[in-house]
Amino acid sequence: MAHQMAAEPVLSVRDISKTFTLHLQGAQVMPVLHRLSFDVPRGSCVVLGGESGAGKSTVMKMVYGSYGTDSGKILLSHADGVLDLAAAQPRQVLAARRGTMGYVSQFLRAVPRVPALEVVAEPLRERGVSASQAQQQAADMLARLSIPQRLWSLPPATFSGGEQQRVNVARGFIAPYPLLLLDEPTASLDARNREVVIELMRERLAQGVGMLAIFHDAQVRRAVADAVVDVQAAASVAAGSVSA
Amino acid sequence: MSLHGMSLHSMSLHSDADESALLTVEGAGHRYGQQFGCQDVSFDLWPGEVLAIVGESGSGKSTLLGMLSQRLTTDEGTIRYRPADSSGITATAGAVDLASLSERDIRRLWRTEWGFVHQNAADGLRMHISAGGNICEPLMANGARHYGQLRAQAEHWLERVEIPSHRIDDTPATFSGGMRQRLQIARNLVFAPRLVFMDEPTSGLDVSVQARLLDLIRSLVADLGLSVIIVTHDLAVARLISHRTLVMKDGVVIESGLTDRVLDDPQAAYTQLLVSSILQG
Repeated sequence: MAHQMAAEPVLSVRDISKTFTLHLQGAQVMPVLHRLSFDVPRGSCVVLGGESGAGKSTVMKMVYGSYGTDSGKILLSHADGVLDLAAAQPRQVLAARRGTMGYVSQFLRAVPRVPALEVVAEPLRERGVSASQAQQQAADMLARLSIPQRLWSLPPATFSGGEQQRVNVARGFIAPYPLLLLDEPTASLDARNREVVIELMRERLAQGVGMLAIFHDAQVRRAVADAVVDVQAAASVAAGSVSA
Repeated sequence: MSLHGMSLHSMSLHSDADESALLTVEGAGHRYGQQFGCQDVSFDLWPGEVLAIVGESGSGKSTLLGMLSQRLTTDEGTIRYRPADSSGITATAGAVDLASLSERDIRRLWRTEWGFVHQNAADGLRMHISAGGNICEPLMANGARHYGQLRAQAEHWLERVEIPSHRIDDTPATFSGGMRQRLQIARNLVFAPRLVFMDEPTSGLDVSVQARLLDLIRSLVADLGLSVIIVTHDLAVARLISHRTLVMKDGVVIESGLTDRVLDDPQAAYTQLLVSSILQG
């Protein structure tokens, strides 16, 4: 807030709404969000709050683009301009994912046969970093997250839940994305690794990275959250609009 | 992060106002007699982009692939292609209506710019010439004659597709299904095409062999910055290797978009049915 430069948020969500139509259940219409708005300033961690099922992950997926947005704008500072992700073409969304926003989901969607080291290095490779440099950084990140070196050359599909989660975190934090989307990044981690992730988040925040996060873990939330967005309220209005 | 340091793959997908589509399809369709096999299809394919066409058998996806690859006529609409500067094909504003090209020009595109990976490897390979010969033939069609260089290229490509180089003189008739399919891919990529069509390239294979082949396709496509149009009935294949997906039913495209959005937030009733039918593995 102190910096004039930081005035413009990395992400500005304006009046987004979302309804699911379940054609297989007699075209049942499920409004999940109604006119939700919030900003993610640079260097801030904004947490999506609300009960389980309130639509927090839905908001995250709408920003990332794996869910569509019915109305409203999702304005991302991207490539010296502003991109409305709610209306962007697929290849613009892909460019934004490559250059501007990283995503750590709860579950790793591992590609068969690709070793953990490559999985983690890939975001750097996509940005044109040389293979050797990307692998070096990936190795540093995996070591920091206590993934034993003997696992680096193996595909993460065979890893434990906690190990997969840490590979996922390593992949999400390796590239200098201006915006990080974090969906329960510490969900299946032990206390020590949770501390490492908190430390990683603090480092990125200090570098000016904006974060949009879902944390069930109150300790993590206390450690890094700057603001909480009430998804519940927007969800309730949406639900109310059906019964009305 | 400097733009100059970016890989070919990243560069080619970077959205840039100056960049032009490789293929522009507008209202295109193919008729079998009075019936349309596919109709009113429109999309752009961008350099470096992998587009999946999904649907069940009879949905028109193979007809669409046949039409796009000029094996079937375009009976309505247009398909415009942007040939390489070196192609010798005269293009207005950079692109050319494929229907206006002579057979000779189309053959030239197959020799220098386009590849086609068939579901059945035997359709895309010469089964009774050596593996090395299968890889070198496209290079020789483009004028390569130096035996030592051809042999070295063949060895290099066998290695890239994970076939032991000591099999170079064996014929694909002696190969397993997975090896044949990998050889077909090598034969299609050796001459550095710009656009590769793939028709169910993994569907005849065992599951473990499929995963290996898919991963190979995925990494080769990314390394080479290829544009690919792949037809598949398998949504997991689309998820793994494509950027964008078209869903077909009854000869028309009923839904299209970013692959993960089509699969995670399907809008059409039929797409929801397809997605809900995936076995969770």
